[in-house]
Amino acid sequence: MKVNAKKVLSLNNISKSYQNNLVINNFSIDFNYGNSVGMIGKNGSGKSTILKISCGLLKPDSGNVLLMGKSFDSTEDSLLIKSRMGVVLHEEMLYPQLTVFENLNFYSKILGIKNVNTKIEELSTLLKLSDYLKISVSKLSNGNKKRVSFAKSLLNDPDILFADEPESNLDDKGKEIVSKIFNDRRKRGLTNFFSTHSKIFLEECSNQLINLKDFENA
Amino acid sequence: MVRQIYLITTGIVFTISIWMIFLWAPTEINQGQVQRILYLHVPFAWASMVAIIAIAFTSFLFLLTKNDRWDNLSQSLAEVGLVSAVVMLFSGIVWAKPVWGVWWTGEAKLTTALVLFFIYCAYLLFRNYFPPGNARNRIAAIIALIGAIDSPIIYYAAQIWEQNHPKAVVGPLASEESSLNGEMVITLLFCVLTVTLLFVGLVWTQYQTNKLLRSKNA
Amino acid sequence: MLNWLKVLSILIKKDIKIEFQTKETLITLCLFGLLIITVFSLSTENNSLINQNFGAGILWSSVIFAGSIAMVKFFYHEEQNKTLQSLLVMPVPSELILFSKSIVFFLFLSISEIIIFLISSVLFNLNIFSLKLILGCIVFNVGYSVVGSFFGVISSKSSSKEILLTMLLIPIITPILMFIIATTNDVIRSELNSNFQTWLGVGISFDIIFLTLMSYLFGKIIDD
Repeated sequence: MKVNAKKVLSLNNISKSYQNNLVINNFSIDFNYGNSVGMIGKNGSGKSTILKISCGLLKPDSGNVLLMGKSFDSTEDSLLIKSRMGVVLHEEMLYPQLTVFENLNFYSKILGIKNVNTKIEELSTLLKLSDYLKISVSKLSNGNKKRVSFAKSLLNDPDILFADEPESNLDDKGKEIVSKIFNDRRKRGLTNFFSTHSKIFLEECSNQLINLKDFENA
Repeated sequence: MVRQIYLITTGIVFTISIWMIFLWAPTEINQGQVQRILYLHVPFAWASMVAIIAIAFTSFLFLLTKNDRWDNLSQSLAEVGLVSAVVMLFSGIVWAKPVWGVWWTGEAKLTTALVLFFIYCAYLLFRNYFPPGNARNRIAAIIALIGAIDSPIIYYAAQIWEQNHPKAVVGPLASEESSLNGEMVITLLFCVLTVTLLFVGLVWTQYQTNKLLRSKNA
Repeated sequence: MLNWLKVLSILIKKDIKIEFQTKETLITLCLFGLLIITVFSLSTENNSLINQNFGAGILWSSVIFAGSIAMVKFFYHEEQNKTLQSLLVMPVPSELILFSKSIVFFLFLSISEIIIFLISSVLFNLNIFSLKLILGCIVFNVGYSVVGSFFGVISSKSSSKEILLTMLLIPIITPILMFIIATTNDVIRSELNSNFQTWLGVGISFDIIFLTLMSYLFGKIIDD
């Protein structure tokens, strides 16, 4: 489903402070559907903050955000946008007390996914999680938790996938899988917006680059 | 210039109040000299109640305008309001023992005053423990509004409670009604004016101090 | 998009499932509550002297303080694992998060109260089982759970969570605390002429006002 808007994401003059430290200052960017946009910048340059603002997890101190032509300020629009996006952050945001299957099952039901078992099987095969479905998330390695987090974000085949350093904590095989996912999505006209420190991952997965050095705070 | 006028005015008014309390106002027939504590107790009770309403108002304005000045004013009002509440409670207890024979009763006003004291404490504790930033200021404003909305409910509940719990006052003056003549009323009103001026000055001083601290931390 | 009731039931089932696995909230509520009751029972040589005058206060002191400790634990894991954030990027109205947490805590609180009251009736020779008290507990638990969940989310992000939650919660719930203590006193003393209806009005009004207020404000406190 694509909402009728040319730009999938527009950030206009976004500023954000954390505990009185200015992290982002008057940042603006926009890009179209079907792009895989990679963002690089040094530590503390605001990559995670920009991603969190873009997916509605953080509210900017000033400026506005339009995702798929809609704003997070309206409750109705916000729910619509959230049903069509996927998010993978540094924190896995999983319930450690539940198994991999139970976590994915829960989020599938929230998203209203039909044929939940089929979808979970498909994603666990793709992300090589089939052997871990019945294992509690607390017992998984960080790499496997990251894969589960990816699986969760792909349940609704989102129009836009936000990912904060998606290749971190993953072994070579895992990076290969994620890279393939990103490229497959782009071929299907879906959008990825991610941050990374890896130049190799950036070259493999992105067709548009944002370098935060160009937007450094005054 | 304004500051000097204020200091001189407050100094004069304060001096007159002391003269009125200890020398001009006659001694109350039933309560004796201890009644003079009320010239302190009542104005500070008035100040602490007004402060709660003022904090709710400034918090509402902060949520509406997102202007930090209103947040600073809310904080300053709470800090001075807490001091007023402590003076009110302490002076009330000191007055109650010789007059009622007990330090404390289940009277609605006392219960409400005590709970309001705790609401002040909770508001300031929150500001202290929560990480600084826009989220803290916004949530503090919400807590202030919740406290203000709850205050009349607390007072009403305390009144019903009082009906069920006969006053445990057994002191020698417990059954006597206090009587205020003209000079006492004038003294009381003048003290209210004095404490109001003092309150405004303290809030203003605290506001300036907080402003400096905030700009230092920025 | 699923309808609200369906999403609410999914959220509730998830929390209950987690609680069945960990049993942390329920154990904290029951054991800590019973510990407080035990301390009070040790404070006097003649427990029946306590019951008429202080029974209600002892019971509800234990529930309140055990409840606030359990509430902190209830939200601690959410904040630690950022699972509350995971719901914020899902198509879940923020009020439903508050409602689901409140409903689940209400269930746990009710279960723990049954256990605490049973033990208290033995230790203090209290006769406290009556429809009046059950109704009172329901009204109290609703208010306590909603206000507690609201402040639980706030305090989970701060240092000194336990003290902050308790300091925020107890002053605000004073009206329903007075209500339930008055009701419990009526039951313990078998008082027929009481202000129960007036108190019930206070309790229900408090619940309605704060349920409405907090569901409106919840979205504003979980935004960063």
